[in-house]
Amino acid sequence: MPSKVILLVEDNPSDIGLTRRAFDKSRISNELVVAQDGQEALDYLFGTGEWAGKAPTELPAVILLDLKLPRVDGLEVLKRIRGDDRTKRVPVVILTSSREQQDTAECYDLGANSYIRKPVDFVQFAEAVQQLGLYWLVLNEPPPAG
Amino acid sequence: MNPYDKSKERLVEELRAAHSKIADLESRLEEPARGRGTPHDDQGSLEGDDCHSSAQVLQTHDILQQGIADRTRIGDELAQRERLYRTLVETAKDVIWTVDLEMRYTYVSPSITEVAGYTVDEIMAMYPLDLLTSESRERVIRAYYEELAVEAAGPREKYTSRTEEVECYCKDGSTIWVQMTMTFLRDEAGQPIGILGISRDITQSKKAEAELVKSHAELERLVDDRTADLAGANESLKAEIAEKRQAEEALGHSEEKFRNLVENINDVIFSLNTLGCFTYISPAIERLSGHTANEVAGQPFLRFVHPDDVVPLQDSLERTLAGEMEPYEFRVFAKDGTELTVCTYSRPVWEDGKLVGLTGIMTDVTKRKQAEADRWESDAHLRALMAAIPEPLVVYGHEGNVTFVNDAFVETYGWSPEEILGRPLDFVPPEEVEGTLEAWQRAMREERFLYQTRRFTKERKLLDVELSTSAWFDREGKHRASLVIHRDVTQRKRAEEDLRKAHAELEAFSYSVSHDLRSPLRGIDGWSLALLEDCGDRLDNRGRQYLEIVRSETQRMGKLIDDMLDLSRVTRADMRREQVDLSALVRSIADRLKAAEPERLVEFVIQEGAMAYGDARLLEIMLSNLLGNAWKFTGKQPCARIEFGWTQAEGRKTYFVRDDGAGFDMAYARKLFGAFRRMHKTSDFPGAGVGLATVQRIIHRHGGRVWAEAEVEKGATFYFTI
Repeated sequence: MPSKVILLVEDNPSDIGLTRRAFDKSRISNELVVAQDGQEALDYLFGTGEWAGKAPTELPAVILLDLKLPRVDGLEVLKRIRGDDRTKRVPVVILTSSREQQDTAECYDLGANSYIRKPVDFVQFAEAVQQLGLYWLVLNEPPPAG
Repeated sequence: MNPYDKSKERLVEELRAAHSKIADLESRLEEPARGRGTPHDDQGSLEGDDCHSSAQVLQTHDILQQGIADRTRIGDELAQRERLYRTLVETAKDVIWTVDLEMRYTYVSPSITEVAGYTVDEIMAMYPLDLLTSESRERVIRAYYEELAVEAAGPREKYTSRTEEVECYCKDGSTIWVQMTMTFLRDEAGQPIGILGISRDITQSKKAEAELVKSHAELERLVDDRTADLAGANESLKAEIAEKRQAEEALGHSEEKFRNLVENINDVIFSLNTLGCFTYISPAIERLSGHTANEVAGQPFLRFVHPDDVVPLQDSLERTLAGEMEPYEFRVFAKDGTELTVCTYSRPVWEDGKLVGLTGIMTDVTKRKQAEADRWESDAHLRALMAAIPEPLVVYGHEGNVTFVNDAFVETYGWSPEEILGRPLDFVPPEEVEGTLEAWQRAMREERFLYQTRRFTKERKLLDVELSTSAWFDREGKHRASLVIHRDVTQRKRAEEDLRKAHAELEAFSYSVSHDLRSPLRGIDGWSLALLEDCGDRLDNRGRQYLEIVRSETQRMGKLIDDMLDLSRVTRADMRREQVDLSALVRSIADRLKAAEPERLVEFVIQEGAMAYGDARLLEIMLSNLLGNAWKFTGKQPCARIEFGWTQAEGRKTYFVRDDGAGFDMAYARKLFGAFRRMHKTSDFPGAGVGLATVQRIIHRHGGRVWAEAEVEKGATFYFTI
């Protein structure tokens, strides 16, 4: 299994913990990088701010993006990712509580690869994360680098 | 020469000669008078009410004949009557005409036919001056220019008139002498715009005058020549001649005169002497006041007059005697004490330059006055009513012109009545013009309706108004006027808008809250599970059981939130209407339900071809809820039957979903469709209680209705229309 990182953009510590736990349970061993708001995620991807000078050489295998985020919100992050040649092909999975049609439609319009609504039931949530990992990390043929 | 020296025989002889000469003269006079006076119209033929008068006519006629037969007994009575009738009848016989300043006829009264033989149409086509002999024409033209010159010189008394005696051509080529009294007609500014003329045929009197002058001269000569006895005899003879002439004239014209009187019989004709006592009153008085003519004769006029009107009436009579001719209204008492309002029109009677009284016509105007009063009353009533309405009110005439606005209108819109009365308002915003015109068309047809629009105030402030319009129609159903009451709904509109916004905000808020609530729930559930998994060995069974309850409750809450979100989405979602096969939807939902619990024995009976026009997605949610309920509430029986179909009720297709399950008590049916209302214990049948609320919202959004019939343990049927 490739050792590419998974970027989780999520501000809720509980959800971060649960996501991490779900990955563990699903035996997904890729490194999980957590950005706690939109700006942090962009800094990580583009080597700015905190990440200035230490930009990762490799892009994440998949970005799990929440929509409601402090500072720069999820939709804006998605827009910037898709608007930059370096990151435009990275798979982005929206992982959110929202089931609003408008949100769903907008995310797909902006180039999200899939849209998952976090269930309350952890068992279901873990299942979803497992399938997600299986699909994006194993079955999916990743885009050619940069 | 002393006339007294003449012998009596000689005197008598001379007298006789003079007498016969005069008689001869008068018989010659009578010939043309009779020829011309032949009545040739039957307008005055007596009928109905007039029979009474006809008898009177004959009676009077007899009296007159008797009077002539016995000349010496012709007394004051006859002379007096003759004077009265002449006054009245001659007025009727006069030709009244008007011409414009270019001397063209603008009106000629029908009496022209009798006087000159022309029909009104013929005379109207003629040039007035062409009717005159050349001598008369010259005089009239001269008089006209003289009067114009006076006119141009400056203001003059209003009703000065000029009288000319002229000779006119009749239709048959003969000529008549006419006394023309002419007065300028004036416009409001006092400028002459034409001439009003009254022409009186004086041919007879002119001839008679000429002959009389002759005979008088002869008599005078005789008197001068003869004795004092002769002078005395001459006097009596003169009187006799005058009386005879009067009597014969009265006889000659009596039929015609009385016919004219009969024509006017509804009005009372009267004469007063200088003391204000009745010297004559026509029998019509009986119809007016209940008094007979005899009861009134000799009585002072003022005796019958309402005390309050006595002084003004006296003033009016004095004005009449001073020559002013004006109708005058006052109150009199009938015989039974009833108060009547009468209108009189009178003029003074002069005799030998001496005022002897006045003569007039009296008309009963009580009904007219009452009608006027009633009308004023109802008008005042209506206006008071319209003024009292606190909302702006406008009355439009048939042409769309404003005829009335109330105070509230003035207050609301800022226009004064003067600014708007009589012309259409320009307070309609451009975008409302079309709708307003349509509404106006509608107002011409319909009695009453409401109409929402907007209007500008004078300060160009836009008001949302609801117009309540009603129309008046005349007896033929033709539109007369429309009354419009404006209700300012600006405030209400604003409140509605605020409410709508508040509602939308509330929806958004509850939506967002629901979302935010889910997140911690996920945490509670996830970490409870983590606790069970990672530390389960350190908990006893009870501890683990509690944690399981925490998880199931968490998940139930999650479900509740999801249902709430669904419900809210049903309300907010856009509708996309199309033809939907409800039968097909029911079948697919049934398949899904059966697949979820294949062990259950449920028979679905589905009527095919239930096509409806609506939003497919919402209708599926609605049917899923109804069928889900049916499935759920039949869950405790070994086998069940669920039916879908439709009936036709009140001209509308009514669909139904029927089951033979647990049913419910109809006493609680009222609460059935409220959110989070439940009819069963959760332990019996689980559920959040939003299913039927969702169903109802979807049905309402489709403009339909939903209701249920059920009985405990005997199943339930849900009906709906779309």
